[in-house]
Amino acid sequence: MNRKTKKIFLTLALASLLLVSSCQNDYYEENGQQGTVKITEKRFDELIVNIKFRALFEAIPKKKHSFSTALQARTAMEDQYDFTIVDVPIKVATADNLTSYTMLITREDQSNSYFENLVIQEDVDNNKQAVILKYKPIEVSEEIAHDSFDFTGTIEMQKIALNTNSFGYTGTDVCTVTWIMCDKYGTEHVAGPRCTQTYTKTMKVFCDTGTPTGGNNSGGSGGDGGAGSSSGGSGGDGGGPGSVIPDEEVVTSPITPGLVSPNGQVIAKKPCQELNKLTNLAANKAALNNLKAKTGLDKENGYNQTKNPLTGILNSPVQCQANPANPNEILMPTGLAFIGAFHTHPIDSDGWVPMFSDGDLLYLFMVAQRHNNNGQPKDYSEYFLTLTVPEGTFAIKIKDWVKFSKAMNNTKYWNSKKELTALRRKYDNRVPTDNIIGFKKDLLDTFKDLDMGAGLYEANTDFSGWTEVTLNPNATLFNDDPINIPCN
Amino acid sequence: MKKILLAIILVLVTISCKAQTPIFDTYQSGYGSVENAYYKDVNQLHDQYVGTWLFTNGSNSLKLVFQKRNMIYNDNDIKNFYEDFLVGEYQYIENGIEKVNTISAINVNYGPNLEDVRKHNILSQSWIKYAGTRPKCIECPANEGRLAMSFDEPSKRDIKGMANRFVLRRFFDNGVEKLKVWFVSDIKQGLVFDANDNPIDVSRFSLPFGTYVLTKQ
Repeated sequence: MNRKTKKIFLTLALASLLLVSSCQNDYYEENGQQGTVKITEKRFDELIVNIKFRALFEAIPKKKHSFSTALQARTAMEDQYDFTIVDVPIKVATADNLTSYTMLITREDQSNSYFENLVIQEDVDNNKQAVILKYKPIEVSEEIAHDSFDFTGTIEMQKIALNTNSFGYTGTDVCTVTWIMCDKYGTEHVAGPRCTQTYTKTMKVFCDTGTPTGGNNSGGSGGDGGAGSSSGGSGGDGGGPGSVIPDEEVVTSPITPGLVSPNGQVIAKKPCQELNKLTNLAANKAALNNLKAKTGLDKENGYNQTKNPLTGILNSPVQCQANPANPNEILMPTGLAFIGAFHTHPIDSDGWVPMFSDGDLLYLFMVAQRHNNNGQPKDYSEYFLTLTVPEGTFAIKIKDWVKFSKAMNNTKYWNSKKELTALRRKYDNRVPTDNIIGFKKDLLDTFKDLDMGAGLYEANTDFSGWTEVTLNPNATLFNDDPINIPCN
Repeated sequence: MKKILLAIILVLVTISCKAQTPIFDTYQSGYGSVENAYYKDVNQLHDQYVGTWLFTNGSNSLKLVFQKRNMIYNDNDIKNFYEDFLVGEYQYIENGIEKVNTISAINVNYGPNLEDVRKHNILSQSWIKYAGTRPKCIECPANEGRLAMSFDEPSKRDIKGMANRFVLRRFFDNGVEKLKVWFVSDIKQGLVFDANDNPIDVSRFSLPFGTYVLTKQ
């Protein structure tokens, strides 16, 4: 190749490279925020290096010495401010005229009777505010839609005096809080980063003066991304369309403890609680122990679970009968009082996959859909299917019925025979005797890809507790194993 | 020289900006994950099954006919992409009586979309990479792959939940080209419903579950 040819070749190669790279940007979808106020999540360590956030945060007076690093900042907080910022993502609400940061905080003497958020914000005119919102729930229960929760209780607000010599609180005339809400599926809930259509709602709260200007709040619902809120009370709707928040208004998208893992993932408490409830029963524990001893067999075994329709009490599980048409398989009826089943798969070395099949997902859907709940609203988190294999005992649960039923009814994913090609393709790439981690990931990837609103859980060896198995948000090219998050 | 270079670059711009359909192996991991991609049978695995195959046992017989349907559009709700399929039709005769015959449908081109090719009674679904996967192939080397298909029957088309595996292995027996078929049930009794979603007790197709060895015609 002479010099001239080389030159041409290099030029062409460079041109081709540039062209190819310039035309490859349309494989990615932007998850754009269409709402008027944008919610994002950031870690404290990320934010503290942001000049704007740092200046705002440092406006809060300290009791003692100042900090120099992010780590010191957090560890020294208890001394400096009487509280510590919990290491979960901070919610950043960005409107046209202000930015607010909501942080979950905890104290040394923290009890379960309340949880608190520190909210700091600055508007376009450089007006800064910092408040502590104390949420005293009468009841916090999980809401299935959006992996969230309902809140019934009261809220107190204490305004922190800024730019003074020492940490302390100050009175305020403005005893309202503006929540960033999301109205996805028409169910009111607090907005999270996944919310595409935000709106605001102004609530009256108890001020630190002790003058009650707001009543109890009830019936609110938590939202995307793991936040929670309350609604109702004496507060009225405010805000509405538009991303300009009224002056002096404290803006927040609350964060509750327990729903957000240190990895920033949402933990749906209710399915976890329901699983614990299930295995707290001695008869169920015995059934699962019995199945543990049968994982080496070449046929399925299992128990069916019913719930007394009058009392709501779980009956003792009943051993499943073998399917007369296929003795390797058990009968797992749906309808009537059936709410779930415990089962095994035949041994891996016979080619059976040691993880839930598409048929198992279909069972969970049908048992939930066909359960006769005497016309009462269904709590979809109670339906279950467990799978005991030599590697352990797992469960699948519905976390979001709207998503789950939509995905299960999607004829583009499922053919008319009710086979889920996406899952079958993944499993067929593996040897059934492979490490179970791969199969867990296959199932979780399918849940994620098809937005199924379902969760995978794993029991500990003595069935005294469960963990939720989730995809690792910090997965790398070298390690993308799923992680287990305790169901507390 | 400059003019030639410019012309070549212009051609490249046109080609590369039009070629927005990257090609991936349909049977590798990552299937369906890239918008507008073409999940192609790059290793031409489907080719070995194309044609007519026959099993006979006394007055019972099973005839299978396979054809390829390439670049079918899958307008999935999450990602839209193209993929290659193998489609099949069959004739089953039991005790001299024809139970099912869909062979004539093999030449029907139902259309370019997934919902169209699904009208065929046998449709490729996945590539089983290892012999140890259900249904196990005892006689296969550990890494021998097989094509898993989904099976249907015209009279049972509206019945939901009759999940199954129809797995193909092409092999040579003393120089004769043969096809082994494993037809196994994934039906969960109690999870089979009619078109109106009423549970029905159907646990088999006209073609019995089992293994069949067919010869290339």
